[in-house]
Amino acid sequence: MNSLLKLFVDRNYLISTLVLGTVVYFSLIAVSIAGGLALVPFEIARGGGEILIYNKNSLVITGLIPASVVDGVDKSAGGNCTPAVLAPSLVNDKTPLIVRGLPEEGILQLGDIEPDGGGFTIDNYSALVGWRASTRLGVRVGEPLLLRGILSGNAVAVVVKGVYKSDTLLDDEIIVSLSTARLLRGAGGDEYSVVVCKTLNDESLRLLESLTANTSMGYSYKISVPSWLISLIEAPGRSGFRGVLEVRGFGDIVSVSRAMSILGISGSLLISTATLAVSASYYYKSKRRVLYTLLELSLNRKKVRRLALLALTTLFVLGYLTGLLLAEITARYVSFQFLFHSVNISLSFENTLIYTIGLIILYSLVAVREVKLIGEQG
Amino acid sequence: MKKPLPHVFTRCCLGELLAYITLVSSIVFILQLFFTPVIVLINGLSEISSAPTAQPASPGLVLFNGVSVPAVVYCQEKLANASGVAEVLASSKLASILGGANNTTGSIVVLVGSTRLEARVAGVYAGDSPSLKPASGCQGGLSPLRLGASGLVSELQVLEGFLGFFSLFILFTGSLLLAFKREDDLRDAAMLLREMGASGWQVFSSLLVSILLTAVFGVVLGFSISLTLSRLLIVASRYVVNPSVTVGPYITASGFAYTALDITSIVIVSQLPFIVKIGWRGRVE
Repeated sequence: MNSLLKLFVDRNYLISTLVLGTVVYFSLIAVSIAGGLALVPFEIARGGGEILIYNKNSLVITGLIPASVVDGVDKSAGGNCTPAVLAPSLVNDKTPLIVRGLPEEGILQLGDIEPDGGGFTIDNYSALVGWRASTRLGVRVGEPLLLRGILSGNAVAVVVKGVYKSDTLLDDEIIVSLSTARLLRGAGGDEYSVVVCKTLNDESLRLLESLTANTSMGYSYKISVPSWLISLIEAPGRSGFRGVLEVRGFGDIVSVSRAMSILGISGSLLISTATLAVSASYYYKSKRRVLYTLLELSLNRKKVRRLALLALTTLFVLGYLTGLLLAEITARYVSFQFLFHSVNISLSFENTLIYTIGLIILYSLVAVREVKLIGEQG
Repeated sequence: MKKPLPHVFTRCCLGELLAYITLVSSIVFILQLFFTPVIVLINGLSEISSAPTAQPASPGLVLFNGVSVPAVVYCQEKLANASGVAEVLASSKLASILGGANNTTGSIVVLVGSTRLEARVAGVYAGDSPSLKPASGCQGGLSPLRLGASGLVSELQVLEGFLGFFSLFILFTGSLLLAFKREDDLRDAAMLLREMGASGWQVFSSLLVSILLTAVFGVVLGFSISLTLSRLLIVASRYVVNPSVTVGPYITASGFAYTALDITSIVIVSQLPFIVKIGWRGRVE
């Protein structure tokens, strides 16, 4: 059997494997970028927390929500939530980045920030700078910075009090006091950009749901595959997922990531399958002589078909693994700037799984069709 | 014999290459179709004339009575050029820190970088953050919104560039591999043409033309597919997922021309060693 299988493996076979590998590689990267990019604004706003409350009528980073509503939810949640004011700003009138205003307890709570230098306490005239932002700006502790709100035009001078490293997207930001951030954002004293909660109990979820029903407020969970997949299956307007799917803010984040993931996955599947189909059909054409000989050599049709299927399956598996390995290596080393944050191309397990399942189904169809033709052609 | 026609090569061995070029170029065009309108949109937003302009400023420290306060120093160059003690206006916030809103005649020292300035507060203007500006006035002209938007646009362009180069790299690798795969068949076709009486030069030019035609045809097919696909995806997403924002696919004529040229040249470059090996050497043999 093994020596017979060798008849199928030649230069043509190996090159077909590599072609499939490059296509799978390309597709996996496309899927990760398409799925990941849509969620970047939400991940930035979330800043490491689990539940995000934001203005659903505006871009998540630039929207504002009333403080009174937020305080109600926070009280009900037992102080589990941290408000933030996000101010897209220019540093020294040159480099744009996000300045985040946090209350004192928020600086200590959010994302387990470790100071590299300086201290935690900041006032209206000082700031903490993320380590990536400090490298990008070339600033050190003790240096003054000019922050200018992009949306308001208001300027503030602050002194760098410390540099922090949190291993989150916050490392690309500057943290200031709430009032300084409000000035940069052009927000009133009773407004926040977002609120991030660690967990919410049923009571506070119900409160949030009733609050968000008639206002511009919405909220969302950290997104993962079950949520967007379940919502895809569910008819719109029917609550079912944890009983709170009704809330429109959640629907927004789901639909964005869903649309982008579907776009990426379907496009990638399309090119992968087309390449696979073309490759398999050319491959079999080139093997016509081998197949004839095998059929003539008293091997029955079933056996030849099984051999051919085995050859095609190993081609598929090797090609897929090559692509996956290349994508994994690329994802580890490549990152890009989006909304002034350094974002990694991470191969999300869920999207990769869906792409792989889709590819296997389509491969099976291609393989069955091609193998079925063996022996019937002549 | 009749002139050897490029379709001898095309029909025997370039079908797979055509399929590959079509697929990758359709992805490259889809990227452009979606990135172009987003970039145009952000650029357009930043050009809104009603966006407020700001006065140029530097971060500084105001020193008085042994205390230092970080403050925004507007039109710092104008202040630095002033001879002797500079007359400045202080924001109401700075004035209140300096000792109440009535203290408008105090002398202060302003540090901006390594520059040290003696200044006298000659008046107060409304301002929520500590800041000061020359009493003789300070002209605006800076547009923070435009600067921020151009930062965002350049990020998107870098991302688009990465994806574009990545696609072209995949195109190059794939078509190179396919050339390896079909090398023997191409050589056989070339030999056949030679045996039929074609000159070496005719074989070479036919091979070159057939690959060029395959590339061009692949680009045109890829563009048609991407156009159809992107329209379909937009329509489908509108009905299926109902997103809050939809972007209409859009490409400029020059964008299309550059991309088409890029794809064609990448394909030709990847096939060149084989064109030379099979076509040119075939001329001598």
